[in-house]
Amino acid sequence: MKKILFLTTSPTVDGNGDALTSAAMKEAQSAGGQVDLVNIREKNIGFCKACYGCRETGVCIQQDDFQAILSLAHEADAIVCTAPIYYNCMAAQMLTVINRLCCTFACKTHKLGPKKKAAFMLTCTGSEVDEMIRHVKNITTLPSIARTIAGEKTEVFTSCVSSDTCAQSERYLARAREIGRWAAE
Amino acid sequence: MSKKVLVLAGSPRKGGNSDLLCDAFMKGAQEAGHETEKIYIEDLKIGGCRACYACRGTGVCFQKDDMARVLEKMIAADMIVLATPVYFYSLSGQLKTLIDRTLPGYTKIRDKDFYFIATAAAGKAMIERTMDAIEGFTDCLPGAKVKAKIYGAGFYKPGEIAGSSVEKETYELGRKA
Repeated sequence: MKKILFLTTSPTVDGNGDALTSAAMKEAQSAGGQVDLVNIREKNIGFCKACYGCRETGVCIQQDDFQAILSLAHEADAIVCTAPIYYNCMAAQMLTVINRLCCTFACKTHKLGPKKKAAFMLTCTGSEVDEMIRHVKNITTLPSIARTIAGEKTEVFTSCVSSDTCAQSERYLARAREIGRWAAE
Repeated sequence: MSKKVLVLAGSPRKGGNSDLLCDAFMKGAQEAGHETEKIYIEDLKIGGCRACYACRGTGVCFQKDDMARVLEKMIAADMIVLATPVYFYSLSGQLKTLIDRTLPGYTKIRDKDFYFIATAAAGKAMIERTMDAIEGFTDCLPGAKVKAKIYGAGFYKPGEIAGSSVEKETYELGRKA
């Protein structure tokens, strides 16, 4: 049974990110996956201080919710992230989580668990799809992350002009389900 | 003519490499007679944008934190320096949090000259990705001109950029700004 971590970074309750996450998660469950859901908006995650306090232990000096999420990420066979695009770049909430992965390169003995599939579902109004996919690839090709990625998919959901655009679009929900199925395979 | 230069320093390290380049730019700009101010984002309290659009009619965010003051300064400035270390080939969460929170007034950040500073242990090609991500923001601002992108490539230890040629070039850019 595959373990799948769903990580949502949208601040909007029941918004586009939640609709996509929920569709993907149900699909992953019905495909036999064991799912965990973390809503970053409910968590306290500090900014990386670039102090390299994690260098020896792999554990951040900040006592916040990050370490528990990192443990789930380590155990996972797939991680599905949802993020809104603000100003042609993933929301600060997502970048802040990614920044905190400092231990993956600072600590040479850091264990990353099984190789993982990584999926991103990005919601935006008018950003260029190819450009947004490139932005994600820019991050996931960092060697310390790339070494643990077994497969990658990014879906960009454009024209999200209202918070229920995705919930109302069968086409968008189908794409989210496809991601869920892929993650559980 | 004296201009207002606002430097938004997005590194958590005071005296770190991107911060030293901010100082070099400011020194040059001051010598050219400009008025400069540096804001350490790390020192401020700025919550993430909640995408609630409560600001749509009012132009004011419901979150009562330090961002209202920063946004006013951005609107009042003639030149804005955006500085960040390269984290995961993108920008710091600190700087992106500030950028996201410009939503109530980004259309008023009009006709500004922008300078980008990004520093990393990696080479220039990798830093280009970070520049790209920052430019995603200025692309959304009316009349924004990106005057220069300053690449602090190949610096790993905090502060080791001091005395480098890129530090001198940054000072010169400030002086000619």
